[in-house]
Amino acid sequence: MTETKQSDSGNIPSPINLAIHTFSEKIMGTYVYFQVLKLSDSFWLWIGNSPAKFGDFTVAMNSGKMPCSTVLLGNSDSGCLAMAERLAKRTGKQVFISGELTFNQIQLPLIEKRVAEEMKQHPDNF
Amino acid sequence: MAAPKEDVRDSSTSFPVKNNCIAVEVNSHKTELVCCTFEDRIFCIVTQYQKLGMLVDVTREIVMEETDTAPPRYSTRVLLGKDEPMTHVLAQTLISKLDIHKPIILAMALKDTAPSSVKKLAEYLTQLVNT
Repeated sequence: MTETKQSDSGNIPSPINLAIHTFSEKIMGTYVYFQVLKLSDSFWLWIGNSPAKFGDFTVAMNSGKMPCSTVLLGNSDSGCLAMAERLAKRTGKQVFISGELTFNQIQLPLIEKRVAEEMKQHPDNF
Repeated sequence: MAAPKEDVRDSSTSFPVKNNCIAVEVNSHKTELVCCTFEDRIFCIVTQYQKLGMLVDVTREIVMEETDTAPPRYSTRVLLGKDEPMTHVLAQTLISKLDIHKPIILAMALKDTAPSSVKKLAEYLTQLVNT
């Protein structure tokens, strides 16, 4: 009895508050894809190429003067880590970043710049 | 009738990640489910707080002499959150109906952890992953 009730209420399309925002940019000849999932007081950002690999998974939080971060999955020297720290400091939010950042030292700052640009243009998506 | 009436969003085909989201109400708790399919992994989010909450790495165990009737077995590892038996049980229940070989990263933030609710969520998650 309750089962039917539950599935009925489940069928009413509830508004989705979680929205995934995607964008891409050609950086130094390679297409880089980005996707952001806005969450409450936090966001998850994925950066990668095609075909898409989940890659490493890192989290950073701004706690006082220095942001703190950790690698949840993958390489501990992941390029995501430093970026997550900087984004956490900039936004004051908890930042999850995943992706296979096998980009070189010239590409990485450009990728971060692109993310910052997107944040400025569409602050509601972060 | 049979067609799901949930508000299912599909991303454009040109983007390399396949994203699906639905929002459902289970036991009067609004729950949002997100599934992102990558080449090497699947990222699933089941949230009632609009947060990622606990993160669990789920991998399917390779069973020798796998028979068709035996249910798939998964091993769970907590990446973020309380590493207590309940977390593993919740994760195992949520993915119990999935039949995929890719490793899964499961994010869950649940207000309601009653067995009937979690089973219901597992059904919705399976439905979402298979779309």
